[in-house]
Amino acid sequence: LTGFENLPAPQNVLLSSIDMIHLLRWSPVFVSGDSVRYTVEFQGEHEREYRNGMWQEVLECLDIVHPVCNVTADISSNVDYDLRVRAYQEERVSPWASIKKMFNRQDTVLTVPVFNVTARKEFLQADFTEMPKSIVFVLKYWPKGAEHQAVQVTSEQNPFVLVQIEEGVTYCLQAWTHVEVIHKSSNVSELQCVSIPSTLPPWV
Amino acid sequence: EVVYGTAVPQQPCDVHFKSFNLENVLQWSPGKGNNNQTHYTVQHIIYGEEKDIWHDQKQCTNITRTWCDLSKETSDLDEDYYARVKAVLNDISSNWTESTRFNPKLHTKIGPPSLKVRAGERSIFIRLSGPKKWQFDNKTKAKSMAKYYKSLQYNVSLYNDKTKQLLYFQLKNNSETLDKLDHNTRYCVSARTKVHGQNSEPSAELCVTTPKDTSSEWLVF
Amino acid sequence: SVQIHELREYFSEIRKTIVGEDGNSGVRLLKEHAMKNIKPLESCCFLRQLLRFYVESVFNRYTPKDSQIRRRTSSLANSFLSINRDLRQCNAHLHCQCDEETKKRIEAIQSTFEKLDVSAATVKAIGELDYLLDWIETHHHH
Repeated sequence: LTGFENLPAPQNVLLSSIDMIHLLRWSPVFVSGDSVRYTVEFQGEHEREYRNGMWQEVLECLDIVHPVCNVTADISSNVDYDLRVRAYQEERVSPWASIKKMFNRQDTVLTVPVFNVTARKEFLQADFTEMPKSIVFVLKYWPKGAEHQAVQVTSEQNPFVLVQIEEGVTYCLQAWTHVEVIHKSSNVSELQCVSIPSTLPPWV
Repeated sequence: EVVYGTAVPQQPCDVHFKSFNLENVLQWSPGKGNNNQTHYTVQHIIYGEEKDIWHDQKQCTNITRTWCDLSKETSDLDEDYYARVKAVLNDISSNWTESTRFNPKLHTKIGPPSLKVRAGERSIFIRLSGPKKWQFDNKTKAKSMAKYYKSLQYNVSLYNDKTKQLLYFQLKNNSETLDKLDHNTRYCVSARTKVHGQNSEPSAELCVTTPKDTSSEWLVF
Repeated sequence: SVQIHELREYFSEIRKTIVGEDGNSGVRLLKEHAMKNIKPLESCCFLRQLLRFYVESVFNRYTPKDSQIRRRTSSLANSFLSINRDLRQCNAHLHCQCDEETKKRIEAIQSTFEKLDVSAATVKAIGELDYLLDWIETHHHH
């Protein structure tokens, strides 16, 4: 051990994951003197089983000041990951503190997508709030009252444009997100209905 | 460096493949101090060829230009390749300079698709094809790159000259009819190829105008 | 289904460096004839053996100094483990026992690998991941 270990270990080490963004948080270590810094490490199944329990540094969280670390770049497969953090202050260093239960990205929470729909003569446009790259939007739309004619489309593009639509018809839409790499989808959004303007002159 | 009183040419530098739609051209820069008297000789090898035998290039032996078309020699998409070039001046050769490993299928830059557009009654018919793979000769029919890239898709943009609106959408197969458009309106279409998340340059824009609305001419009160 | 898109992304971040470190262009581990014409029933087993070879013989002996390469070889190694676990489930339903010919293909790859010095062999094997990813995309991507 390079430093002498009488700094208290970080407490309440928690991994929260929403929409495939994985954040490690902990309670800051309060001691007098210079500011305390932290380093985070991760360990996947390969490191555990085939590299004698080796730990790997989280590159973005070496000697950081704030008690939060984005580990998304390293939680990069569907195996279970262990994560740990420790504190430093000058020569002093704390013991490692780990998450209570190993984390698998398949447990991420997928939120219902928020989107605005704009109706134009030639197309319907759905603007979604930005999401990480691994998440795709799925949109289901149908003429109001004819859900049996529903069409379901998937798009990585945002905004999302639907060109095959009829003028003067009211369309209802629902959306959800899907993450292919973990075979998981969010819940379905609220129903939104919009009317497509008609090109016939109003006096006809 | 001098050998028996005659200068040894500097070896070429920046030897690399420039590839477009699987037309694979080796390019290099002359070594420092080399002039246009300097000639170049090219060889290539398939990665993994056990006996380490470099193949001569008849069409690129003792040439003065600084490129060599190796499309034919590097046409097997299941193989990787290396190439190397040396400079020759007054029969004295420089050391060889090698390219990095070249994987045609991964490293080629894919061009835009060919685009056909036809205006109909308040509609536009779009047909996309290719882009065409480079081929040795014109005897055989040029193949589409889609044959070699299963995940190839087309991104289309449609510009309404009246409303100044630009619309983007994706086509999985190669044709689409956009209907319920405006009468008597000029629309401009362009398309890109998308493979492995990479977009090509846009195709040339093609514009068509939808016919006038003849039905409204009968509405006489 | 196989997260091929992700694997390609991870490998594309380190390909140039690793391929550049392979100074032995006269040897190819994943030879074209070893990867071609594998009977459909054999492809599950062939892939499982090849992934195991990478996890147990390649990645665990590869110790790059560059932190970004360490990060992405960890992503690839753990992804291979996760794919193999999915294939194990497929094993329960499908025939996944290798026949003699498939075993020979794998053994040929391993013996070529063992003939090389460890660090050269691991660099070469990882530098050839494009062949494996192409093979997976052709044979296993839904």
